[in-house]
Amino acid sequence: MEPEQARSKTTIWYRVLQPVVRWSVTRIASYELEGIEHFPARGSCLLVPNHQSVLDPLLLQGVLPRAVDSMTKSTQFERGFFRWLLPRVHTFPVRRYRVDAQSVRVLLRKLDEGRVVCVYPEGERTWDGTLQPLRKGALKVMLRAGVPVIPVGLRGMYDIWPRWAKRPRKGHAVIRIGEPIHFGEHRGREAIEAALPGAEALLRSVLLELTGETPREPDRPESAAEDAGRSGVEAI
Amino acid sequence: MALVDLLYRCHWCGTESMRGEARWAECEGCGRAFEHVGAGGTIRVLEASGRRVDFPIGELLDPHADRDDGGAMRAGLGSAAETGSDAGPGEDSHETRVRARFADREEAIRYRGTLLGFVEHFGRWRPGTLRLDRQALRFSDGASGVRLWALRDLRAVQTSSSVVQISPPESGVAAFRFLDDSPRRWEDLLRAYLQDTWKAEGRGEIIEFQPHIRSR
Repeated sequence: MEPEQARSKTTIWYRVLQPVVRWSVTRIASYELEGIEHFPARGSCLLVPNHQSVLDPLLLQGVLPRAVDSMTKSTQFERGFFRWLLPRVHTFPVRRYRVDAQSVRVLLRKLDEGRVVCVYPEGERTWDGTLQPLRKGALKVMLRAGVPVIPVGLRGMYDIWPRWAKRPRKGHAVIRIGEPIHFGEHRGREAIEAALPGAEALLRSVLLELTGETPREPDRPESAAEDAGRSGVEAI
Repeated sequence: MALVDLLYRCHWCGTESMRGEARWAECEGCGRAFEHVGAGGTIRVLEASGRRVDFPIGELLDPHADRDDGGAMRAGLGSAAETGSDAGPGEDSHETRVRARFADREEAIRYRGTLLGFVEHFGRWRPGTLRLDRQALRFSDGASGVRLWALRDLRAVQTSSSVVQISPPESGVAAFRFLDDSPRRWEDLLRAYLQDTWKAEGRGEIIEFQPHIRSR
């Protein structure tokens, strides 16, 4: 076994639970998966979905063909069972009320190991179903990591289980995987700060298109790419 | 939570007399009923006349949307600039029953010897009263006295599930679960008051409330 394969192997817990999770989630949410050809078969990447529902991570981990490591709010690890289980299904905590350097270190380490890591750039679930502002911290990690960013648009999950509802109800979801975005690797605070506005504009426009909130206008890709290019960000 | 926690103030009449459960709410002020019908976060509004109109849920939260009285949905939430309120410091306050808990230390999470991160170690939930005015947020439980946090010192505000969390200046986290009120309303209140505090002190406009308050 190659060293990289050995490091990035999937835990038995993940392999056992993935079909169970997929079966359970799809009892509630039937789904369509579009753009799977954009999902890399190997190598590290950042998966960047919009966040509509508490079921989003389960749906993605359930249906995607590679193990997805997820950054999850630290309070999920509070109870004994979840504290035991979550690390075994490739999940690591992030403290949301502070800049959590440790979670960034873990994320970058996982990318070095060739893994797929999921980060929700809105930082929390949407209240109204629309894409929320993208967090600077998440964008900085993308710029620093230098790995392909795979945008994912989730539709329908909000209607199934919005954050203000106690219980889910059955519905249909669409998972649209977009083309990889190569932001490049940015070193140093100045380089990252300079690239932030372009990266934010580009990622936002792509996510809006994937979620169907805003149809992409003919002149938008060029202008977004121009903005990104000015700050050292490339769209492919 | 329920739809009424999100639509805690009527989009049209502006009163906070919403009631309801699950995905349904009704305004006792103007008689309109609201139902989440899906289709991309659509709310069906049933007017007193019997007319039904569908709205994207975001429009019903828009503070600048048209209303029966021409005001803003969040009018009265606390922004003096928005409301035209001339309430002085400390005069505009809100109070509600909560359960609160506090985390003053963190624990490491490891897997197979590797450090994955840290999680808060919370104490037990304590019932009490939460009071917000233009200067500070106070929690009192009648037994162990009052905990007070000056708004100018708070480092972050966020809602996690149905709990509003603040990051106090001294470190740690305080979490509040609302017994009779909407957590969304209190998050909005806190953020509006913080925004006013920051502006009044010349610290700029807050653009992010988590992971830490950031202004420009």
